[in-house]
Amino acid sequence: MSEPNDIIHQSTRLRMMATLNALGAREMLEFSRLKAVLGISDGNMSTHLATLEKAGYIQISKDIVGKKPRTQIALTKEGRRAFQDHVSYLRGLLEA
Amino acid sequence: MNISRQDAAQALASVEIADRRMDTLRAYRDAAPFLQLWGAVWFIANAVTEFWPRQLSAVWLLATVIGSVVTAGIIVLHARRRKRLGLYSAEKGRRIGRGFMMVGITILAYFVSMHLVLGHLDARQSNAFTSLFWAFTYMTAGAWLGARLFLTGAVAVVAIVAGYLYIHEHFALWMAFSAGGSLMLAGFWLRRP
Repeated sequence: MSEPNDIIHQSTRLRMMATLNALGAREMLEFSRLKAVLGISDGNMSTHLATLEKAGYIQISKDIVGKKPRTQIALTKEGRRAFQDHVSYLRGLLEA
Repeated sequence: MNISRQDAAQALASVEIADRRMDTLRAYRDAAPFLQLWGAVWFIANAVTEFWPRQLSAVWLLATVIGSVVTAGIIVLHARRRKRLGLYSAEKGRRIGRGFMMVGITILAYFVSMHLVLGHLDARQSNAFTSLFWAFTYMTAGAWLGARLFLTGAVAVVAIVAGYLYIHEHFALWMAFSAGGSLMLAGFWLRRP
């Protein structure tokens, strides 16, 4: 059985990773959309995104669309693998 | 790190909820342009019918053909977008394409059969009958895809039935604003997270 991932297992980060994992391989989600899906504050979002980015699990890209700044988030390959490993670990726990 | 079986079950449940939510939002986002398109078709065709009733058949035929062509265009654009994002599989694309074609043929057969059974309908009856079919279709799709789509169909059904029963002189105008308008507004609603 694989090991648990304590970065991903935190409840908000787990929902964040699950939401991002539902995207396609080259799909990104806007910060505001992810925030609305998770129903959390800007501050909370930034803290958890920073943790996931530092671990190399997500990629954050910023650009300007029209005259507005846009922040988009996507899972990295490593993040997708780590999330799937953690979910496998959780499933394993239930099946054991 | 120690995770109990109960923690694991809760975590997996939250993953599943997030997954389902994203599926619903994706379905809403995909459905939104179709609703806006057909809302606009209803709006324009009904408005023209209200002011130029003699052009009714030509207007609805033209509006339906244009709507169908644009619908096909949106389906192609969706497929391209999904391909770009790594969400597209050729096998699934072919299956969905066949599905859409069969649905189109089935709906056409339904309307032909119903018109053979019902015989001649006046303009109001024909408008209400056809529009109700589509409004109930949105409700049926919403039962699978999400509450917002179901509610959109329900609002349109109520508007059509209420208009048919209580608005006699300006039914087409009522349909333009209530049914067409509600579909167009619903398109914006569906795009929201």
